[in-house]
Amino acid sequence: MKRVRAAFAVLILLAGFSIWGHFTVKVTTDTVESGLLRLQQAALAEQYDKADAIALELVDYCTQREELLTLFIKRDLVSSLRISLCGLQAYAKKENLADLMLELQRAQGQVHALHCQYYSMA
Amino acid sequence: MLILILRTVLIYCIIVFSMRLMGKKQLGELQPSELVSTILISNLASISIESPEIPVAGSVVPVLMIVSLEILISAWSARCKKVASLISGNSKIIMYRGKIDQDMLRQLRFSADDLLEALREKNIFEPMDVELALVETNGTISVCKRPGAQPMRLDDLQPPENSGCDTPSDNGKSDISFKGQRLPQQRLPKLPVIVDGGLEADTLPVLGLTRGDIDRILEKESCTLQQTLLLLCSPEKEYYFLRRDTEKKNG
Repeated sequence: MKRVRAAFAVLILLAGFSIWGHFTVKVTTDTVESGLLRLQQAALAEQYDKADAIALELVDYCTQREELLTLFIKRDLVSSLRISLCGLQAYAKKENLADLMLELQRAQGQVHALHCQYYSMA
Repeated sequence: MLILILRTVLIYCIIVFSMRLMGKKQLGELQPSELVSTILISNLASISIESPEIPVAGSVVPVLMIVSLEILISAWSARCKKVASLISGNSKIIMYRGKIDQDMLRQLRFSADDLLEALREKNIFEPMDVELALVETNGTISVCKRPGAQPMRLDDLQPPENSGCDTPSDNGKSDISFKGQRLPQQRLPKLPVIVDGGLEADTLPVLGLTRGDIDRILEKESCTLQQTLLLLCSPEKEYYFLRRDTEKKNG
């Protein structure tokens, strides 16, 4: 009977862990996605200083959440997103707009991959 | 490297904890579901040790999940006979009084060689020496030897009327004697007829009993089928009866 209780306790802990993981991953990917969208809008409006600040903010946020995300998602996938975000700042200039858009698309793809890695059954 | 060592230590501790949680049963003969969980656990444990890029949770969560499910399913099986037979199956009689049940042997995909090998492991070299052989749910074969085939015991020298048995039916009908004492002929052990409130219908023909005989025993014990934990019967209608402990069941 003690073992059955222990099994129930372990299942409850696992459920709690998975719910926490769900919210952690969802909040992080949503925040990065909305940040990338804001960055894109700022760049298209030729507000490059604002775009630069958003890129910096995204890198800081991603660095903060990296340790937490690696509890649930493959380390290399999380790191590659942070590296991509680090590159955005360098392209936040008028003459590099086309490159910035390309890098933004790549970062959005990586966020999507991160999301799929956690939620996809396939 | 330090991370790898820490991860290995962590996984080792979790697997030791898991095996301890699953109990001693896991360390002996395995039932099918236990074998599956053991194989899965061993594979899952190696994943996060081999691949440092994979989170530790990728091993720990599935291992703990399998352990918990295994415990809950085994607890459920202990309470519900149908679940137990669904998960682990039932023991099957493959030999009775020296005669091999070939249909059952084919059904279990046992060859005659497998059977003879199992008998030899029990120091039986003649199939005729087997009174009863069963394949247990974990795949092992349990064998009861014929009285003439097993070493003489002190009990065998006691005449049936002094043996303390309830109702020996064939007193004196024996062709084997030792130092003037008649020995019981082909005495079959008591076999399970009711286990955990479920009737073992396959055993009744082997014992030469009918459902009516079982109902009479239950009536004598003032007990229903569901209230019976264990009823073992012999062809002589000797029986061992154990009622379900209601306090434990409710608790």
